[in-house]
Amino acid sequence: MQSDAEIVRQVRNGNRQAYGVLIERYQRLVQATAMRFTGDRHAAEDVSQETFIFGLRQLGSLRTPAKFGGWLLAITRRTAARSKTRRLRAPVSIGDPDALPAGDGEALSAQSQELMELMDRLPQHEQAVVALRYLNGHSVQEIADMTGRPVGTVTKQLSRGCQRLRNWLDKEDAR
Amino acid sequence: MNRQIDIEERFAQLAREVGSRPELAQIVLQQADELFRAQPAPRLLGRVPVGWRWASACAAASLIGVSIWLFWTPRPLSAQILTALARVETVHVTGSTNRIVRKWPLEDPAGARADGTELVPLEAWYWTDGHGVARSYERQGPVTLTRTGGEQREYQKDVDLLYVRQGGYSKDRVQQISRLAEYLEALERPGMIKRNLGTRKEGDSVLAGLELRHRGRVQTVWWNAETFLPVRMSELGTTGEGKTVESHLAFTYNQPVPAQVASYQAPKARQVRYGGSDKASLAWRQHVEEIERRLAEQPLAGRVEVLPRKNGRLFSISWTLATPDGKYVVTPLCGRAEDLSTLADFIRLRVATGGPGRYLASWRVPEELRELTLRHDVVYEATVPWQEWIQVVLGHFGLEYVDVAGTQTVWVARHDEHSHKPTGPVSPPVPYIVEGGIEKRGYVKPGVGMRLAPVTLETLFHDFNERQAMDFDGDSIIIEDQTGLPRPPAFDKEVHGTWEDYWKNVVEPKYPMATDSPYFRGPESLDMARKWYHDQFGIAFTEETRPTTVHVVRRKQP
Repeated sequence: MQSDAEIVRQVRNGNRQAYGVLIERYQRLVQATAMRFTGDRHAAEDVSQETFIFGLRQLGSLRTPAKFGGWLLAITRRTAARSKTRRLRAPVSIGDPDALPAGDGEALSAQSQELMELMDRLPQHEQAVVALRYLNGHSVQEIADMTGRPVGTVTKQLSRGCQRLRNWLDKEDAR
Repeated sequence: MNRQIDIEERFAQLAREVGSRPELAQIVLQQADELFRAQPAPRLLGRVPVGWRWASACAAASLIGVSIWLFWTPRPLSAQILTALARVETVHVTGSTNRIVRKWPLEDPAGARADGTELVPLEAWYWTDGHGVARSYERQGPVTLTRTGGEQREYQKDVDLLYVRQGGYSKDRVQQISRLAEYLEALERPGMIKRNLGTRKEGDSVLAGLELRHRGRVQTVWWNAETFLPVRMSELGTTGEGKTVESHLAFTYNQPVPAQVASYQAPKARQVRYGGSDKASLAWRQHVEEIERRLAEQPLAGRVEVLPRKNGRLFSISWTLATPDGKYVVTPLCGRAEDLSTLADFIRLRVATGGPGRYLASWRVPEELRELTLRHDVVYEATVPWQEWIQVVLGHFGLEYVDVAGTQTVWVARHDEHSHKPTGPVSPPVPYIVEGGIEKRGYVKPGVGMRLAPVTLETLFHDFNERQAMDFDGDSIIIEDQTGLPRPPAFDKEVHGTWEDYWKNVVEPKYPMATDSPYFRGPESLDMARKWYHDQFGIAFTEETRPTTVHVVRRKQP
């Protein structure tokens, strides 16, 4: 399995089709992050699409190809924030003085929203590893190949990421 | 929950909610190709024509002939199956499962023993009705879920709960088959051990099979080798927590949907829960229903009661609403935010609604009381007059109101038919503020639009009256409408469609309206208001002084 860095280099060298592998790899994480920020499936799908196109166009500015996942997440957050701002600027109905414009698509459940908020607290390298493992179902070896990190490092990052999430979930549930 | 929290299960749920878009790579690469061709190697991307929808994506893929997807990798099996499913008229699924999917999770897991412990029958139908609306009916043991366009209704018989999710987008028939989609996604999941089961003849058809093994689960899918339509699917295994998973599904196609399925209506349930994109307003409805349940157990002591909000909760949207049984009315004392939850806001938004005797101009509230923060609701029997329930509200905070005689300056609005400007929106007198040669948009001063939305004459008068009365001194000017100009019908989604259509097709062509409501506050805005109404609408005001009753709020006297 090719690493993110290898694929980034291939795309930079003109093999644009290889970018499709990165899209497959990160689309769930990008979509989940976008849904977390926009609270709306339609808007999040647009954000995902815009993010990947922007990522492809800006791939030349990525200094460390191995950090593609974290870099893409940062783009996702910015794109989602812009999208949300655009929606909030839409005219407000006068039917109710408290009315706010609402989206028209599905949102994440409260549990998943909470999980994504906690994911956002993780260091970027752990976020990508945890998502590849549990959102995409990749094995540790596959993640090691993708991220270009030793298996031991991936195992530790996974373990730490999960431990952090468990602790935070425990605290949230104890409230 | 404790440390046994199963991260994997949480992520599995998240993955189901997020879903996947096998065609996303194709769409992105195609769009990128078009952009690169149109703008060779620009540094920054312009506005991308996003707004992906399944149908348009498929159409785009077919238009470009040999798609990038096919060029890039062999077409996945899941995509071929989904394409085949998109061509059929109806899908009927029967079988059994021990995994009951609930859109609204069990609030008390002990209350439903069937979940995960025994096989329950499963039946599902997917079709498009005569109006072109995608519909489905899914029954798994005690749970029946129906979808009509973007609305879902899930009735959980074992706990007598109805979950209504409104405002979602209308999934097409293929996307609705969520359980099937899960299986299909698994076909492409990395780390999956796949075994080709070859082909076998069944009746007149040749079926092809595939077995997937992943983390202790075995999934088998058999599909028609010619049409790619799935015929049977099954799953057997254990989860990471050691729970047994078992499902068996059989598919048939293009069968007529039984009348009892097409006309199924979820029964009235003891408990109702709401969700969806319109959840802001639904959350308020749910809150009112919770108040109703509480009152069923513990009725009001009198006819009116002030109830504090649990944890001081605020709602994005809240309004005066009757409980579903119609016995009580709930009026929120606070708005969507802290700074809209003062006594002054309560009187402005909930009490002074502009009807007879309910002008904001009739209220006098001392400055030191206006900022009192409220985090409550008032509940009263529907027959209680407003004077009574507001007295109880004020009394709850150690206040009261008394009526005193006063005078009111009234602008009687009459229409001069000769200078009538019958149709077409008019603009506020001041489009924006210019200071030092710089446009300052977004600031509000006399004459500048304050709502950022079109308004009818009725709203213009209401806004004028309210802004003039914002000092709560009980003697501000009010406009009394004697123009005789027609008023548009109230907005009705069923009749008028979208809010935008209503304005464009109903209000704008026939009724006086403005593109925004000008901010007319204080004496300095009065001349500007007179001139604007005269020039734009042919409305003139005759000033009268009338005796009136002023409601004076004060601390409760012993």
